[in-house]
Amino acid sequence: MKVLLNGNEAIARGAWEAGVEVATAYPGTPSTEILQSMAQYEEVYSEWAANEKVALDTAIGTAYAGKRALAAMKHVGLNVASEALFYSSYTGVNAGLLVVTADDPGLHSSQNEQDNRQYARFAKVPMLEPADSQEAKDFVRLGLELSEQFDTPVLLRTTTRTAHAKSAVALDKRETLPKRPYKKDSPKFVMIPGYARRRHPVVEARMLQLGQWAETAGINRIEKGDEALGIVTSGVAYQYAREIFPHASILKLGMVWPLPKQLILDFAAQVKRLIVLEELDPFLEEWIRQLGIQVEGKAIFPIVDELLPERVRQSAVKAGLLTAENGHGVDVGELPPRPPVLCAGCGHRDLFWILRKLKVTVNSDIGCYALGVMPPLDATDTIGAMGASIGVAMGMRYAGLEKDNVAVIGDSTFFHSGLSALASAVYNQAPITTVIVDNRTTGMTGHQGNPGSGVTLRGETGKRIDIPALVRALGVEFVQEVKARDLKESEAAIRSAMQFHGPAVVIVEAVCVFETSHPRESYNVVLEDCNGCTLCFRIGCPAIFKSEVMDETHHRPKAWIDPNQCVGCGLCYDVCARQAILPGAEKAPAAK
Amino acid sequence: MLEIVKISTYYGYVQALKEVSIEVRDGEIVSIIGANGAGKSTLLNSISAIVPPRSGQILLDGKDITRLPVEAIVGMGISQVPERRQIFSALSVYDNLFLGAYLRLRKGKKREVSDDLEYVFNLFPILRERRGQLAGTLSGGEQQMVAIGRGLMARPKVLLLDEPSLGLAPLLVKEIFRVLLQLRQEGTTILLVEQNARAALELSDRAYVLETGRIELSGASKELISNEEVKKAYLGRMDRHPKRKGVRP
Repeated sequence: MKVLLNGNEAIARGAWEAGVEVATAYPGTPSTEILQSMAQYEEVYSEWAANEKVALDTAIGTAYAGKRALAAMKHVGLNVASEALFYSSYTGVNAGLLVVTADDPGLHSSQNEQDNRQYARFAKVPMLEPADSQEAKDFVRLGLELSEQFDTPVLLRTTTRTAHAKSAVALDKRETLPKRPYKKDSPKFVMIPGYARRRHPVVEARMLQLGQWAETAGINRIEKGDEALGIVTSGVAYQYAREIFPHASILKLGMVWPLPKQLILDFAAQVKRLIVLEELDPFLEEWIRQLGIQVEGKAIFPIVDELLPERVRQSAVKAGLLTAENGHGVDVGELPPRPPVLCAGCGHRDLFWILRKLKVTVNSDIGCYALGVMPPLDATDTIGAMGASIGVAMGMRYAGLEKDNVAVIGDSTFFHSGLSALASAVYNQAPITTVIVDNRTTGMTGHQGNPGSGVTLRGETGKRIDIPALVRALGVEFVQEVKARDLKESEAAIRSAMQFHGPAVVIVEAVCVFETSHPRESYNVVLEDCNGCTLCFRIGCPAIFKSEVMDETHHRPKAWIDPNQCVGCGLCYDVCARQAILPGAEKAPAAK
Repeated sequence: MLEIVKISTYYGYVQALKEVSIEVRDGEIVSIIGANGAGKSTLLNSISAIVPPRSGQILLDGKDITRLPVEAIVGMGISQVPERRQIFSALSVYDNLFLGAYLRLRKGKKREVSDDLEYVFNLFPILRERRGQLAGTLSGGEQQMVAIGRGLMARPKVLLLDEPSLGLAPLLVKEIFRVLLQLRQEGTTILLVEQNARAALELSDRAYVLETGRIELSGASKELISNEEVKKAYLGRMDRHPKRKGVRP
């Protein structure tokens, strides 16, 4: 039977079919659906880890103990898990271990673009790259088999398009494998220098063998076409190559590391002009060039942003690979802009409204609350990576920053990598204020559980970690809990925290509007009382708009609240100086 | 009966209706025709306050109902038969119809409501047979009958109909439109939104042509049906080239 699956669902299906027993991940776009989809298969134990490194360590442990395992993460998640990737490259595995890295060219939802094919080369492990959902499923099984055959973790790389696009996938049954016995083997599994030194040559030999395997592997194939143009490509770029250059010869690489030297030399000899079509880094191009072959790649196609067919087409026309006539794409027209904003009723808005008022420097972090940077709130100075807020805030303090500064970090991010930073702040008695915004979920990636919510991936109620108790146990002497909706209380707490001599923590409870189900009445603007002062526009609520009614005295548009978007949080009611915003019931004429 | 004066409706920053004014007189069938995304459904949703307009006025029998909540508008005599039917699939036909009369049942008008139920069953005899069946198990045409019946159970002065022909076989479309004519004869005022422009124009007394949120044309349906611009844009050329493929109204 064939079904439509996106790449992430296909990976989960592939893992289930291939007998994977344990799957772990930390949510991150575009990888999140892998584990969410995995959770539907009862035979596989799936869980959210507190961060990607813990996820990979867990999967490594499962593979050591003799059962197949999968760890999934977004590209920057592999930065966090990279230490685990590097040591497991040395130790090898026992049962198969597949590490999925979902890259995000074009930065749909990430802090940087990075080409994780570099990790395969860097950590000396093989990497497979599927071009559609069927391959995504098939490569999971192949990857696990290679992992066992060559005693290595195997990377599977997708990108946003292969992860999220749906295509037909043929389904198979689940294979049940016997547990491979675990034998204590310290020289293999204990990476002290003496043993690790002996493992390094094993790793180098393994990569040479894998290079040999790649020469004849069916997943690296030549698709013969016109000899005038040969294209080396992989992943989603392969689909673009087929679409834009339907007649060209193509070398499609299913394994992007290690690379098949002889196969590439043979292909190059068959074609007149050789180009590489790849997203982001000239990873294949540079390797091919060092074989002494004349090849073009980044001279034609951009190194930044994702490719997309239209960009490939335009670049190809510019380089003379296509003529302008057959280089004409489909004009889809302009879509209305839809900038990301904090949702109507989001509790983070209350916090950033206060921080803006306090005029402090804000060292923020990764999550929904990163949107506090958007105008009109515009209340964020720095954002880097998961958990960076606290360390950066400390550093700015040490540099004698003129203004007060606060670190802002979400609950899930705090458990991901804020804990050790706060420990460092306590240990060194850094005089910084950390605001933990606790919305009881991992919001930005679509509401996954975390140690602070206590809800596990399998929907069970696990142990919920008490953040205030945890912070106190770490040795923070100033700990105050407030509710985001209480503006006065929150402001007072942050003010006293900033005056505290040591590390201070304010925990702002701002339960995500999607996690609560209290139907609240929307608010209305009383047009007669509104004078268009713009104060309510400045909270940046997507439910508040300029109306078409003008205030006669000041010639300013009055406010209008979209009842379909308003969830009745009441922040606009709090900020309105003229009481011109009231809950719906107080204004709407009584129904007969 | 129903007067809409210069309403503008938005989805966030995107304006879907631009100062739209229309009028529906007592006992009329008025149709709104237009392409996908022209704002036809938004217009109905604005009237029923599902997506309230940001400016402009909506008057029912001269009374301003612009800022009333949805349930108050139903209570005043406007009921909507939404696009794609939106029936409650897990409830019986009977319960679906009864829900249409929810406000009146709460006022204790039980006798009246059961008379209306009889009326709907006479209008759509098949529903009487299927009254105990779960609505989700009905055919598309029968589901549309349930949706219209549910709308009528509110005993509306004005019935708003959103694409009643959507996804139905031509024979069923005919059947539905026959019932609409009957309703009009019995005094129900109807505002009809349709992509099947020909059928809508043949049925209605007057019509408005909506294009990207603006009323571009209006007039008696008989005149519009022979209007060159309307023919070109919404009726195709099937009258002149009956066998030509790929041209649809």
